Amino acid sequence: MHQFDGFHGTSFTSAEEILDSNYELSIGDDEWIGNGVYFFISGISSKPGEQAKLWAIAQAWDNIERRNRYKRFCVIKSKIEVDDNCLLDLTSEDGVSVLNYLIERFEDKISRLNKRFKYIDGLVINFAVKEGILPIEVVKGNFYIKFAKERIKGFNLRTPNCTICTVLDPTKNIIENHIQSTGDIGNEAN
Amino acid sequence: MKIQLDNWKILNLNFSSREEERLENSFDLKTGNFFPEDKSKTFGVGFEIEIKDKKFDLSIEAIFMFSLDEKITEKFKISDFPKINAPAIAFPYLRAYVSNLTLQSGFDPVMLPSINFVNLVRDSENDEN
Repeated sequence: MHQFDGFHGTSFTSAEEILDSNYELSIGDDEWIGNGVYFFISGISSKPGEQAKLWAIAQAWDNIERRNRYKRFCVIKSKIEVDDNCLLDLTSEDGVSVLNYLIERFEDKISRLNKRFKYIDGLVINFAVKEGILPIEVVKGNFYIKFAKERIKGFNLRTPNCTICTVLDPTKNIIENHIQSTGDIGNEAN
Repeated sequence: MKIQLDNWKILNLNFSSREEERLENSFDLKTGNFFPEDKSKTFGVGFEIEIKDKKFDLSIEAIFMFSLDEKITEKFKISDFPKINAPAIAFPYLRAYVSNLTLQSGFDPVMLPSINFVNLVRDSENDEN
């Protein structure tokens, strides 16, 4: 059994809803590593809680309306528990081999979609889950994620700066939620 | 439930006088809370203050630690106390500190405005809804 802490950055109002009921899934084939609830975790960064805060601040900004959608952020620390067989670890060689196997397996299906995806990691993982090929419950990987500063300055790197994970069924794999920090967003996001 | 202010400290302070005076003063305030895992009855209120005076720039980061006589629950964390009552208790200390600091630095003392934290929080909640 694998147990680790995940940090989820969101608005204060959403945090209240999460504590009250549970997390809502992010759904879409263009999600980094498939459908699920996303967390920053320890890995290539030792400060996933800080990254969750920066994410919540960056996500507040509405580029069309030119204002923050929310003025207060919240970081929730969740305890995630997953069976070793149900964790797809894309930071390891074994995990990448599994992903490559899935890509081969769904090659035809992806071609038939006749749609261009910038990245297909999430799409392939979603296929694998839907078809029950692997008992995937949690996926983790290293990615480059842009926060407010990088968005404002237009920085784009290939070097990953975060380790993130997605939990497909929060009711099953999240055993505890605690608010770690809250705060005003101010003008940091614009 | 009893709550008390245990201690406070300045984490970061930047003061620089301006060669050229600006036309107007401005002031920005951000607050936040944090809940240390290893201390179940303690929480912190953080302040970030940025003052752009006509004659100087001053930025301050401060934390105020509060303790309760019972364990902090998740419900307490999202209640009004950490985001309204605790900052309201702490702010006058910071206000006095800023006033003394600016006076002792050879400038006219800055008196930060009184902040109505109830209105401040309610306004941000209304904006979100």
